[in-house]
Amino acid sequence: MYNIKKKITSNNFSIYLRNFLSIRPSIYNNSKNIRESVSDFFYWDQTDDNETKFILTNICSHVLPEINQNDNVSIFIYNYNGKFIKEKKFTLSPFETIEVYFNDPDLIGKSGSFFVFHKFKEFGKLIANNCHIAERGYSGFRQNKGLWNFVHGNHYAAAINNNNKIYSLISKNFFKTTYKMQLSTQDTDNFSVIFNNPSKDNINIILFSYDKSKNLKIKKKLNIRPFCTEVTNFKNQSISYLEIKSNIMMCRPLIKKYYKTYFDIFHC
Amino acid sequence: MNYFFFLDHPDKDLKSSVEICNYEPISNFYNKPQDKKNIYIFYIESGSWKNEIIEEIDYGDRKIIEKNDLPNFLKNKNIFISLSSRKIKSNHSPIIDNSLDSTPAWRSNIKIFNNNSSCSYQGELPSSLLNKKLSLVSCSPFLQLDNDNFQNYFYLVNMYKEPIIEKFSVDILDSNKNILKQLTCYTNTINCHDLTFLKEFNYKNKMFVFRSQSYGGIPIYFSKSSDNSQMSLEHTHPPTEYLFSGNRMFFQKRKKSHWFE
Repeated sequence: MYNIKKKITSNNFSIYLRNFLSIRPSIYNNSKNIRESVSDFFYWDQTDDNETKFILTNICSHVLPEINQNDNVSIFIYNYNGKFIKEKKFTLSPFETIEVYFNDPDLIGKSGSFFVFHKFKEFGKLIANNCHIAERGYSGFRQNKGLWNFVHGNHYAAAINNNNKIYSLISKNFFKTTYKMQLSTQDTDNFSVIFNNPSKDNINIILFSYDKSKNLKIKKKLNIRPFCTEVTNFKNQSISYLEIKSNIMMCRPLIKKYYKTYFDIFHC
Repeated sequence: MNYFFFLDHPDKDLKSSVEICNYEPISNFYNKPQDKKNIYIFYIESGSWKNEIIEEIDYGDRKIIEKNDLPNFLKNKNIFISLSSRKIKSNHSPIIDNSLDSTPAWRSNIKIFNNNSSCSYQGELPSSLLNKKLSLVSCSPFLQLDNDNFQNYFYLVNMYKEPIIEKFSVDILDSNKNILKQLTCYTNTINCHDLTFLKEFNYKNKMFVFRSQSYGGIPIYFSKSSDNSQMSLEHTHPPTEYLFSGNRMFFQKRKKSHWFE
């Protein structure tokens, strides 16, 4: 009985209704097949003196350590404009961890976002427990060959089906939701807010920026096309705080703050 | 209820702060009173929990609290901060309730900084963990050991309902489960360890595993350049974060069993 009730209340139409009525709203839709792998939509930046790397680990070994198997990984890389650049493939042996650098000649001078999907043969008890493998791992960013600044994955952004079609898991609401950042930006007058769109539909976002006295200073509308990455810069504008309004249930961006000698990047 | 903490660092050039917000990240996901709250700090003194109200904070406001701004007698103590509408006695133990439960989690900006740079992450320690004697398995790829100019530190933030400062060990393993080193940590403490000694070990596999069967906490990794001009701060995910939907705790237990065998 519990399983039937759960199935009824957690299908994607029910999630849409729950979100519409604000009754136990959900941030994510369900995937279509339990064997599908899930990934965040990670940011990368190889412009100017910026470099990006991704820590790629055999996730099977973390989740199913008793099964000795390789992990076949595909990284799908898009530029900031949503154009697919390429797929990079890796096979990781059990418990192997490598660093993937974004310094290929065709990525230099560019930026964008990427998915990391894992595929393997033995699912162990994953199917019985209704769990998907998900990549929410760690990206490193640095400038001028300096210290790597690490940031972990933010979302269960998308899944990939057997035909290599990527589809978004980010749930939406008919009404707009406001995401209130639980931090200020008053410690620097130079920062960027980074959004990306893992879905095939355009995403509309309104960014409200306030000064220290809570006066609205700038209201900016963003239209982010499929698989695009939008970096909004704030410099010398005395912005103290941001709110984000959209139909996305949890529209949480990355923030990159610049200080005198280096930068900080994290999910805000 | 969530708790926040100061990441004290032995380098006196580095300061710590917590930016605490009296508002939930998404109102649709929060159905509790949106009211004025007290900013509480909790600490242990003479084997008992003590608390103080620093100030009140209106709904919708934010407040940056620097460790250095606290009264002198608190500067050498491990401090846990939270928000509550309740008024409690000064010897009341940390409040355990669901008043800050929200989706996504109600967090604070936890920061290490100096006059030139800063690093932070959005963190929280849920009060539900205070009732549990946790264990730890943290697989960290964050250590930057290949540059002599960089220093790496491991923080383990442990908070437990009983006001005890108890010693426990954290093992550092390589991916073949070889124990490289044991660290001494304490309960109800923001433990901080310099990891320079790891430079002598083979780092080819890029992952060190920090484990403890006695107690757990929030594992946080801090790297900095020796002149403190560049810094990085990040925590590792709990094992459940490698999974989407379903009974994720089943696999968390199995992963821990694997590393504890």
